[in-house]
Amino acid sequence: MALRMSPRSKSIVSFFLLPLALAGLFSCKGEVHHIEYAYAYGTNWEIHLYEGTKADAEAISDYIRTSSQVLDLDARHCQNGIYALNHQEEIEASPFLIEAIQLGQRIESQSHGAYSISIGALTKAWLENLEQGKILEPTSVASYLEQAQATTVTVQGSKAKKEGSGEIDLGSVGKGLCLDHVKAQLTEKGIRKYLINGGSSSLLIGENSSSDGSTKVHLADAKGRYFNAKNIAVSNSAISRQRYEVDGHVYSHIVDARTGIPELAYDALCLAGNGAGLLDGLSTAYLALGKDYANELENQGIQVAFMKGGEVVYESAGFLS
Amino acid sequence: MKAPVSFLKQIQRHWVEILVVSLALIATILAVIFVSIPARQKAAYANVSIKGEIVRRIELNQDATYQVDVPHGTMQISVKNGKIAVFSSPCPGQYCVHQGEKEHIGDSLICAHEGVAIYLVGEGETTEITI
Repeated sequence: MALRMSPRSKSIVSFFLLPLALAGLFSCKGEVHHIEYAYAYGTNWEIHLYEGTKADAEAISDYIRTSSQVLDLDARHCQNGIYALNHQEEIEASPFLIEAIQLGQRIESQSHGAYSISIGALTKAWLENLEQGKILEPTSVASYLEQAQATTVTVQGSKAKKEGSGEIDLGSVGKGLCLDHVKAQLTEKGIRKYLINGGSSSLLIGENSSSDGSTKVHLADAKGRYFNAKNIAVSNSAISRQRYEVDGHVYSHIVDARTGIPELAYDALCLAGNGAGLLDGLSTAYLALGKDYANELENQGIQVAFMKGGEVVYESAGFLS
Repeated sequence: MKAPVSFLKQIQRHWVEILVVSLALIATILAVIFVSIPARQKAAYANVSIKGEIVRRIELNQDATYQVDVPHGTMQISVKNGKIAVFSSPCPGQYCVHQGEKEHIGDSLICAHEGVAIYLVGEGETTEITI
């Protein structure tokens, strides 16, 4: 039997076959994907650009590496960075350092004392001891805390001045602040499709080519839970990555400035919102403060998830799936 | 005057055309669904980096065990059935070992103590990550 179709039927079939052909074409489209890596701020970075050029990705990678020198506690060669601030009375500071100081002080003011930029020496002492399976004596902790509380940093114009013998450590805002600058650079270049991952703790998530342009972010500390992220900054403070167990107690690299002890009630805190630098510092501060203070973050338009024992124990409405 | 043709008779007359148009419509809908739902892609290889420097590229299509010199000793990395895992590490926390097996683009295995990051890579965009 011959297959005969009217002209109208042929038009109808063509109408539906055309999108079919286009769908096949789009599924084979060539994708741009430039990947660069960097080691900065004490962690490994991945730079994924799905637009732009390889040179753009390399420029981002270079910026991340060079900016980290300013906040590197051991960068003796950096005359306008934090090493110089900690070892001299007054310095002509890098604009990036000034920004970090001011951001750190802003977070201090809202952290109910749980966060301090002056406990660098205490944090270092804890990590040195924990690496050897020991903890700090209470008298040592008290001494370091007293030192930190007596230390101040003031900024006037381009000058930064430290008074007191405590060590200023801005590592908790550094990665995020760097990402704020990276975002500005990407925006200037018109690049909207990207994923910049600073050690899985500070991320800048743009768009991608999936149907809704979002990236699915799974939480390692809460199996099965995830959120969809697009054009957003994410900060994830977790004790699992630097975890030490001594005499049945679990310690981490995050010191609660109220007690001077890096033993926290939660395993991880994930924040999503605008301003990577702010989120970076807040996730450190509020991991120590706990879920009872979550509304203070939510009032700033930040989405929150506290995790403990492999579960989410608090989450903002509509944040996680 | 011609008697009106019943609906059923019309279907009988044009059943071939109706069938072809229906099949074309179903095929179009399926194609649109297929293109718009992104499947999580398996990685083709993994880049092992120590403090930002790529020291090794590991193909995931061959079962093998690899030894990598890290600051405090040697790390053993295993590949089996397209999945990669840290088998052993000199770090005190062993977080990297407990992360288990990974196989998709965008997955990573991190050992902060040794400065090691193992990134699973492929040609596709990273549409899913774990933090």
